Amino acid sequence: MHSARVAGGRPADVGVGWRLVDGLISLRRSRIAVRTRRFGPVFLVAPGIVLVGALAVGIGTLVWTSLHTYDSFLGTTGAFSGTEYSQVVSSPLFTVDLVRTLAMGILTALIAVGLAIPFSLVLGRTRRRAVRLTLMTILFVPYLTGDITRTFGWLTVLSPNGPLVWIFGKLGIQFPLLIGTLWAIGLGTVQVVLPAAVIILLPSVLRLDPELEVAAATLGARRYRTFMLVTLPQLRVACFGALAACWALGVGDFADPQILGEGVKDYLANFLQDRYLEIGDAPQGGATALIMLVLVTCGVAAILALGRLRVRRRAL
Amino acid sequence: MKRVRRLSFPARPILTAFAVVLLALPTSFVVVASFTKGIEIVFPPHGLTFHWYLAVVRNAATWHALLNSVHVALVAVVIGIAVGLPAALALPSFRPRRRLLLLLLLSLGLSTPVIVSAFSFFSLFSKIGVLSHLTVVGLALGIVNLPFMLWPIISALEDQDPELPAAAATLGADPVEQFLFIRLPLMASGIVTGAVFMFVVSITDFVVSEVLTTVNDQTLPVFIYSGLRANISPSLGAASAFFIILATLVFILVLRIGGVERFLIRR
Repeated sequence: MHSARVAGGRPADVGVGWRLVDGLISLRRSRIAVRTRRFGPVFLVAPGIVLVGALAVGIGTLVWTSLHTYDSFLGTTGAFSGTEYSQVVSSPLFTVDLVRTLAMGILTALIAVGLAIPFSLVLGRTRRRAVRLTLMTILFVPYLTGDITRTFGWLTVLSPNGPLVWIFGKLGIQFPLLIGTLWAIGLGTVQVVLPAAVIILLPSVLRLDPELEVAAATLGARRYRTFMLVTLPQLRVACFGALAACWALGVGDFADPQILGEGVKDYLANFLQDRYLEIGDAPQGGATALIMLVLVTCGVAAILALGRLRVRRRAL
Repeated sequence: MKRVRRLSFPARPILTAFAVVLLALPTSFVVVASFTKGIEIVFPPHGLTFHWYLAVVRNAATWHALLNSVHVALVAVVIGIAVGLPAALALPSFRPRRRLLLLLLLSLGLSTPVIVSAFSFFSLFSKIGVLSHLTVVGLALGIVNLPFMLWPIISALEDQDPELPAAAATLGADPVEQFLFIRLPLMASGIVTGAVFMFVVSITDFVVSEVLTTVNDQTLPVFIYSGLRANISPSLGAASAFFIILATLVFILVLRIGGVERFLIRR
């Protein structure tokens, strides 16, 4: 009457699904699995590391390419050299694009964090779920629609036939044409980095102790002083984290200067593409990529270090 | 609570409203532009029409580009699940420092400027001779967007009651059964959230696709970009509106699952 039982302790005449489960249990109990069990986590994480390693290898090939001379006429790579870097750095166009990228990177990061603080305070403290969900939707949907839809939106909003020119025209104010200027690029960049700043600030906002603000008020502090001396210091580390993330995203921005800048206000990302694909000089493109990577990494490290520096000073 | 709100930053509503306008205005206007009558986008519109949507639906090139986008996004999602799920499961087993290091390594795609990642793949793929295949574009996007898969799964894992597998074990469940019938269903929201996020950020990707695709296998964002360089027409608005609808639907789905809200609003 009793059918044979397998690994899971179930009768042998069960369905395919359970047979699969029992097969997996048998596999887990097999000698090889038992012997290699302690390496299990390594095996699980290894495919991810291998895949990301492909990106690291790709960056390595860029660096390798950039460290060789290049004959642009013949299109051939020559000897090991650092001349591509000196050529890129000595290019007046590179200097202009570099200064523009760095200046806009820090400016847009500051504006984005300046907007993200009140936004995350409202998002984190609202008791109405509908308000929270609406703000989250407004925050994330433009990001998820991608660079092209976002920049297309800005092109239509800022165009001479767009709503801003029309509204300001009705008020008797001539709205300037912003497409092709740093204003348009800045607006686009702030829009794309703002969600990152809010995501980083939100956990700290949720950890804020409201009693401290109440205590400051009972001691006579005005709202501005309460914010500056009580709320903001508690958000300091997160602010620097958000600033670092916005810096990294802003400096690496490609679509906004490409589309909203109309090719006349390029960033380093556009310079890189021009060198690589338009001019066909892969070594100079590789050199620009490495310079960008160093700038982003050093900038992030410097901003985070600055945040920690203040913490240490206060602690002393 | 009311008192705290009164004490808060006075310019907060104004700045928040400004941020809302900055975020929502361009996206909203894409939708308005897509219904504009006439070949030029003007405000206020001279009339409303569905003509541009019909034109986009009837355009074979748009469908081709859309299918290419779906192809790369699906490849990215499959890679994300195949690689991200085991990695997310394994990460808690490592010591905190190693875990952080591994997480940073796995997030390399997002921490590197996208244009640098794109040209790194371009350089690598051209060297091994696999450039201009849509599947490798998907592979590149899977690597770049891997954190979008990892974070929701890690978040779902952290939300799990650590006592549950032990409770199942006392009832005789094998570790395989504990994983399949307890941990996996509890992680499902994280996996679905990660998968849909990864699908959307991959289907809407512009930078990696622009560098890695050719004229013959353009994805939809690259196809729209080619049109943008020629003329800003309402038909591009209709094609862009597809991404807005997709992103909105996906975000509503993710909100219903609860993954994003739980991930962001965790105290």
